[in-house]
Amino acid sequence: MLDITIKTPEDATVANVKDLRDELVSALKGTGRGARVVLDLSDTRQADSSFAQLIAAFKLEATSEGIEVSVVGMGDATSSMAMLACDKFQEDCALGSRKNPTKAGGEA
Amino acid sequence: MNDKLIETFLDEAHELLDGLEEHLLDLERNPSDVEAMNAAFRALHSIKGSASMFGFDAVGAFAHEVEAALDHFRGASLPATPELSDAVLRSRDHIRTLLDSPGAASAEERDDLIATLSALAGKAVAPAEPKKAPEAKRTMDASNRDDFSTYRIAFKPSADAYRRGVKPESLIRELRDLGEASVRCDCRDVPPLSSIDPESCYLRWTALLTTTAPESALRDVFIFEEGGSELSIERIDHDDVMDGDEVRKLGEILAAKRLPASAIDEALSRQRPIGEILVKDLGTPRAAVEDALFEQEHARNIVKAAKDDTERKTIRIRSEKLDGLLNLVGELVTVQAQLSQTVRDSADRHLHGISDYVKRLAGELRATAMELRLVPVESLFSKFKRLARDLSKNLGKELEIRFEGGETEIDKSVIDVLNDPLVHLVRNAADHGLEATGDRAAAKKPSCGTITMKAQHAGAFVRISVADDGRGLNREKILKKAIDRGIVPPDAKLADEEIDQLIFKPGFSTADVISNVSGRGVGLDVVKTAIDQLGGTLAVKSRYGLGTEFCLDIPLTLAIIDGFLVRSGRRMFVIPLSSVDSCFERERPPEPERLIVRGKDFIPYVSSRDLFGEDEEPPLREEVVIVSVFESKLAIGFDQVLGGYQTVIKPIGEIARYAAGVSGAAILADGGIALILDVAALARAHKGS
Repeated sequence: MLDITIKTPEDATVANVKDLRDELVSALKGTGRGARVVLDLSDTRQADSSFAQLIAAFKLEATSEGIEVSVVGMGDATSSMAMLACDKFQEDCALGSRKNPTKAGGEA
Repeated sequence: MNDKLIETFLDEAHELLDGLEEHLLDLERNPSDVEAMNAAFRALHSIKGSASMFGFDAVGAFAHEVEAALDHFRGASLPATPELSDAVLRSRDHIRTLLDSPGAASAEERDDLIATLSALAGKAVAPAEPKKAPEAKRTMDASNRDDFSTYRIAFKPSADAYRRGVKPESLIRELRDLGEASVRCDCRDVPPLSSIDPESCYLRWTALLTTTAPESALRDVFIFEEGGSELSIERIDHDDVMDGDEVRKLGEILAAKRLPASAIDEALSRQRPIGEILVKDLGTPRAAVEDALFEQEHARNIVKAAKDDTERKTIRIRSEKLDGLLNLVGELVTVQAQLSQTVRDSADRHLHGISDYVKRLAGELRATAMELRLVPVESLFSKFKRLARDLSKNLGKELEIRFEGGETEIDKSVIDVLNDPLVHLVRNAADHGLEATGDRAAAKKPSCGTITMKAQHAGAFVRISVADDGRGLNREKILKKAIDRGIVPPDAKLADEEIDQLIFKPGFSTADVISNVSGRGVGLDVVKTAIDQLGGTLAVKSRYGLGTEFCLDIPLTLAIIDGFLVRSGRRMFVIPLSSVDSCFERERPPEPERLIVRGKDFIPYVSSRDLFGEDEEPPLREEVVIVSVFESKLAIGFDQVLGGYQTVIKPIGEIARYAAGVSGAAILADGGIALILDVAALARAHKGS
């Protein structure tokens, strides 16, 4: 199956979250059921809650299409504390752990 | 207010300022370092809070302005610009002046800094008026529980929050600053990617906050976001989640939430996690169980925070008190030695037992007292980050400072004296040692010069070195300058090491241009004098074009040492035990020797009688003690080795400068005096032989 890696930009804040959404939509279109998409956050130096919710939306969409998502390269700027000022997630939300649709989705 | 409390506040404020400086320097290196930004913010916040509490209103007000600017960046998750770091560093210096000598603090500088910070934060800030700063975070425990309240805050920002420039996470951060918080984010309303409007907010937060702040302060956090958002703040009874210092069990918390007791009892009887049974088997809403679990976890966090706070508690003692304690211990060690000597000839076994016990207690007390004064060299090194940064800016040279062995511990009194000599050496390395960026490129070196400060132990000494990867000493130039100044005769033929030593001569400088950093012809001689006075040695190693290293070998302590008592004629000497490698007895050689052979080693030899003179005929046999300090060894012949001896070092002041090979004196058990040998200086002096 086709595996693709998407590297998120240095500035992943509300200022360019729209462009990022378009990029993620295109990436999903280029894959299919059973594919694996890696979201690589290692270049991201600034991120906010709008980016966090975009990741949640991306995971929901991918899961519904049978695509496996992995989020890697999380750093200080992309921790749940930095993006959302929170310690944990509601368990059955896309960023939470119990119903986390990703295999290695981590805390994002 | 109590002077002692003010002193404590000032001590703590200085520590916080040191920490702030370090975090800002980290931010300069990595502007996106969220931890450094948060730590800098916390330091400022603490300074602001305690300054206002102790009546330092000007400090509190100014710190408030700086904190506001920093929070603007932090809240918006913006990286710290170099301008921001610079302005906050200058503000840190201004706060220090306000604390140390308020009269010297310039109002113009304050206004300039506030204007700069306001401009950087992109908002206008009114001139500083002393304001009451909010109370610093406290931790709840059983003794102060009544001062605290716990709130459940549910917040859902309006959908257009992002478009209006609101950062909901910043509001949550502000809420967290009010106390001990547990925050859960819920993204269940977020739609799939194909239908999301990424500029709309779909998130909601639930926070449990234990705080001394009133409910109105919590509402104030959301004051500009209340319109289209959903906000509920509900007070929780502590007793529902905690029983004294114990966190209640989940069943108890659920019972307090009016869940039927029969359902809870039923779930408890089934030997599976109670939450799972309640939700899966007994139809209890999942949200109710999750809320209870969240409250339980928050209560655990509160208990843990209180425990951590207790464990962190230390006592702050003025260093003068430790000096006093050490002096008393020193006297005790001397008296104990006298007691041991007096008892030695007694036949009373009971008295021997008591004497041995006193000796052991005195040894343990001495070790503990010494340990109290040991401080990691890191505390000294950390100050040099700022110096290196400022030197880099002033000199227009790229420069990086590195540290090794920061965990090495050394007596605090030694640390205090080392600061100025090391400042001289680092300034010297940056100004004279490192080449200009262009010259480094021509020499095929990295554009960024490196200064490395290193600390390591060797017995009773610690070696601190300052090395640069610059141009190295230009011996030709040094010799020419020394001849021009009449320091050495024109026809002098000096070895490389002798030329290197010329740089320690008073008034010696090869700098062509006098800069405001160094090059005034003072510095290295001052460094040497300071190190000599510490009983240490200063050496230089250099390779032309590759760099220079200054090594300071300093005694670990200036107070008490384990010594090795030896005799030469009627004179007694103490050798620091940690420097003693081995000793052996032999017939006194008929002719003076320069070297002895031990195994495969040739070791320089000197007789104590040659070193310190003769006051009686030498015995036929001598005892040779081999001492070693770092890479140098020396064999010294004495008339007699008397064995181990714990001794209090008594400084001999200026005399030490003229008595080569002697670093101090000790009072012996019989009231006599023994000179303490400076083995490092002796070993170095005889290295060439």
